[in-house]
Parts: sequence; structure tokens; C-alpha cells
Amino acid sequence: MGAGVSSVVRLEGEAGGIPTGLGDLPENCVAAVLAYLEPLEICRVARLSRTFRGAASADLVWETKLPRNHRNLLALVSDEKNPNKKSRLCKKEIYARLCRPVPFDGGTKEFWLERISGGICMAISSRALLITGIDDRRYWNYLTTEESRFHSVAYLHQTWWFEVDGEIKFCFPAGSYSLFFRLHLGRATKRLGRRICITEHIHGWDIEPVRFQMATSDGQFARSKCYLDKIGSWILYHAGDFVVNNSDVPTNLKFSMKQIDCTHTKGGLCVDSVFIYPTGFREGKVFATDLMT
Amino acid sequence: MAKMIKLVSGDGAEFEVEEEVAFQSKIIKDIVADADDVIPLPTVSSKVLIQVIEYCRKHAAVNSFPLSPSSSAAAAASSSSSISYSKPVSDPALRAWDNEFVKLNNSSLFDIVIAANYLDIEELVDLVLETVADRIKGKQAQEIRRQFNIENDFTPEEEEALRRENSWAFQNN
Repeated sequence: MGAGVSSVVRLEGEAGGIPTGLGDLPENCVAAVLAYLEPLEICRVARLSRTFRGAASADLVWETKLPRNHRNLLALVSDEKNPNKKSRLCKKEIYARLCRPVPFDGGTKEFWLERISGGICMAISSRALLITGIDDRRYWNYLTTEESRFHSVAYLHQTWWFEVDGEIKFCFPAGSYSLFFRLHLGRATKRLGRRICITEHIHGWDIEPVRFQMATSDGQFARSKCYLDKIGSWILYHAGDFVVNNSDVPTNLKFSMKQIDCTHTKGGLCVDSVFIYPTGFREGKVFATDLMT
Repeated sequence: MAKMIKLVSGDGAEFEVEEEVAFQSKIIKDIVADADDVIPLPTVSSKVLIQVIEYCRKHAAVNSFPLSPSSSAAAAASSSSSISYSKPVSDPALRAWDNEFVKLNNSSLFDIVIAANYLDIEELVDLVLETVADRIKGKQAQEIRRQFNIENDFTPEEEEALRRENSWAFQNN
């Protein structure tokens, strides 16, 4: 029944005895206490004593931190050559692995568990997006840069028809998510070790706003528009939010941004990636796009 | 007339309680099913048993007339872990009573949770453990050690190994 060892010798609460300590609790109780703490704090208190270290590794603790569909997510992790090793990971090890980015779809996308909210974050690189005219070097080319987690961004010189489409089918853990496009007006480069922004191609964004759109297969829909005007920094443009109710059913998400008014050209824009974050986690340098009625 | 169960503490004190109060303990419920009305609890002192009975009495009264899904339903719906993390106590008055109940020093709380764990009184176990967690949250290691009298029994090598093993938790993405 899980009574402490010392209770055989003396009664709990006996006056005049040694006060009952944390070490007298059965390990499942200590683990249950730790389960109420955040992952970071659990790892901190693991350093207090051997009892805490043991309790901090208990499956009981990490089971509550993992998303319900963590087995599906773990299946996408391919860095273990030995598939048997993956099935023998304890819950804490699974949690630790999912906290590091997990690449998939040939490395053009990656997801990771966000430690504080416990939700999934995802980054979809420009290589995984459908960019109109991307193959035409008069309009677009790829730049190598350390400012993208994929080390490369798509740079637009100029075009009449600016359209970027994307799609993702993924088993997101249940929750509310926000989708962003990470964009940069101007081209960043290094001169004499300092970051400078080349603005020569920037034009056409002040005439008409860029229109963002997002839709899920279960009928959720968001539309918004925003003028791009912040030069020289990476901005997360918020395209919309979606809600996932069932983590066992894949969510099919389509999203796009367009500026297809062909009366004028536009250019000088870097397109890095699309990001999906648990709602509220990343506000950052976001311009709330005007919702269209 | 309510059926009475007799609980006998480790130091020989006898407590007669109504069946529904005693049945807050799943263990007692199972034992009594085998037609045994006197239940010796050799590992529980009378001081602790009095406190546990007080909790059970309060919660039996509430569970008889549930306004919201009872804790057992919530526990059944929760995951495979034996300790449920759902918050069954949604009645604010009861929560307030619980919060007063746990205003005890650490040692007394531990005594209660050991007894409640032994007697399988899930809600009481959860209540005390959550209270202990609240006393740990946000505190520096030194303060937690002092407050709970925890001795650092690691060797320097073990400490270093642990630091490396958990370094993933302190990295940013």
C-alpha cells in the first residue's frame, strides 16, 4: 500500500519523534509532487538529492508533460539508427528529444515541443512553399543566411504577381495555434563585420496591402491584410489562428500570402518561413493584420 | 441509523465513524465488503487519524450531493497514472475548507499523505501533494533544502553527470 519504511518502526505523527521528512514519502508521492512543477523546475530540483533525482526521472512525471499523441510525434524522429532504441526511451527522454527540433519532409520542415506551454511549434521553410515564379531568376533567388533556421531564404527582386502558398498535414496536439509568415523587407548582409540592410529593390508595398489567408480542412478560416512597411528587421506577420480538437486526427492546413495587383510591381522582400506557434506564445514583433469583414 | 465502522489507530485509540465517511478510503471500502467492521490501522497514529477522519467527514457530506462530476468520475476519465491531476473540487466553499485544512507544517502534511496513500484516499493525497508542490515552486535550491531538511547526498561526479544529463532543459530553441 505504499507506506514509508520508517512507519513499521514508529507511527507517523508521534510526538517527540523525528519529524516526518520528504524522504519518508514513497517515491510515487514525490514524483506526484514534481509533476505539478514545470519541466525546467523539475530538472532543477532533481539536483537536490538522490530521492529527488529518482523521482524526477519517473515516467509518472513526464507522462503529464507530453502531448497525448507523443508516440506519433516520436515516430517522425529519425536520428536513431536503431529503431529498438526509440521504443525503449523513458518518458523523460522522449520529452527531452521532442524539445529539440525534429526535421521532417526532407528537412524542409521541423517541429519541436515548446517547454513552457507544452504545445508544438513548427517551422516550414521557403523551400517547402509554393512561390510563384521561384524558378525565374529575374524574379527570385535563394540567399544563404544564418538569420534563418533553414540557412536559406527566398529573395524577391521584383514581380507583378506576388503569391506564396503552402500546405501542411500534421497531427497537432489539441489546442489553439497561430500561423505567421516570417518576412524581411530589404536584404541583410555583412560589411566589415556589421549587419547592414540593402534597400535598393524595396518597392511596391505601400500601394496595396499583402493579403494573408489560412484555412483548415474542418472549415476554419482566417483572412487578413497588412501593408509591409518595416524595413530591416524580421517580422512575424500573423495570418490567423486555428483550433485543433483531436490530436489523433491530422489537421490539414492551407495558407497563403498574395499581392497580385498587377498594376504595379513589388520587390526587395525576403521570405524565410512559415511558423506555427501555440496561441499566445509568440507575440514578438508582430503586426496584427487587419481582419477583413 | 447509519452503519458505523470502528477504526483503531496504532496507539490503540478507537474511532467510530459513519460508513460513508470511512468509505472515502478505498482500502476500507474493500475490507468492509468482506464483512469486517473493526479495522485496525497499526501504522496510523491517532493524531493523524483524527485529521484524516475530519477530511473524510467533510468530503463525504459533499460527495453525497454532488453538484458537479464527482472525483471518482474524473479519476476514471484521466490517464493511466494512478494519481489523477484533474481538479475534482470545483465547489469554492469546499476548496476554501481544503486550503484551511492544509495550513499545517510540512511534517504534519507528510504524515497525512502517508496515511492517505496507505488508505487510498485519492483526493486527500492530491490535495497534500499539490500543497507541497506549491511550497517548492519558485524557490531556490538552498531554500528548498532548508525548508524540507534535504541533505545533498550526491558525489561531485554524480552532480556533474546530472548537470549534463539535464542540460537540454536549459537550452533555447
